[in-house]
Amino acid sequence: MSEASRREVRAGLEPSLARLWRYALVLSRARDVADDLVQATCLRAIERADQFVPGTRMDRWLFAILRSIWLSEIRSRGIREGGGFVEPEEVLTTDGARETEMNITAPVALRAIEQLPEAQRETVLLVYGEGYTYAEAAAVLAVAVGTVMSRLATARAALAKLK
Amino acid sequence: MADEDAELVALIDSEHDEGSRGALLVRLATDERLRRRYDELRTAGAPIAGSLEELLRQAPLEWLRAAILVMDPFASRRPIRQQRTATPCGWHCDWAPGGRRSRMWCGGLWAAEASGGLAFGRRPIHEPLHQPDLQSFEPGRLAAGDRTL
Repeated sequence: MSEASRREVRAGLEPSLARLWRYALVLSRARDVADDLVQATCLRAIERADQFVPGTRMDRWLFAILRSIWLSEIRSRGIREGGGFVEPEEVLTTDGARETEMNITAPVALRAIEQLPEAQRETVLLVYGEGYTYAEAAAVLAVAVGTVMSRLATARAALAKLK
Repeated sequence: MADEDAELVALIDSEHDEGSRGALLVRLATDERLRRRYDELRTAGAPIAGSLEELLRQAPLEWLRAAILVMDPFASRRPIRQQRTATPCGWHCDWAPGGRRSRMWCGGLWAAEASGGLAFGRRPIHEPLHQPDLQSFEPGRLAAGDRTL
């Protein structure tokens, strides 16, 4: 493994940590599992730094690693039933302008998202949290674009029922 | 209904091509029920991105950064002094920056743990493979055997 690729990957890890953790939390719905998943992702990324193609998006590469670990190793342990990622008191915010919008809607929205099936939660995160296009999300999830559309529509419909 | 929702959501997300978009807009202009559904779905989805943004603020960044520091599989190839500078001990010894004897002890234990793990705050980053045996520790033996310090 070249020192240069390892350095490049290490440098790219930190800016992605929060987003990796959020992805892990949305998948696992458990904070301790999310911690472990991000840690395992970082370790694997460093170990396989040579597989990163310079000039491509490292965050997408890291997401793919995280997803792979989740699907192949962690999810199978049967720890999907986590404690949830919605802790209303943590979501509540008091910072002025955001207050009206977030205090009322964020906990409700997060609870609704949390209750969605894993595939829908992941799709919602990739498209609305990470800004993937439908086609990009479909490629990552290995499903048809129509499936992405359907998952997002179901998620929005679930939220609409809460209103 | 589900297909219709999917079409409407794709419109909201600007995912339709021009042709599909135009056709759907025409239907929306003439179909009150469809228009109401469009508004429902658009309003319902509005807080999603903001809510997900909130999750980013909850990430345990300090813990994760510390985890990265100790997980580098090549870390043990660096001189121990350099490792310790990057991540000072403070867990299992009373290392004083100016005290050579203490530094030897700390560096020795750090080296022993480099592949096993550390703790950050109260949370273990990795379960240590070998817990340091502080009771039977012999500073002199470690100092004599470790010429890098």
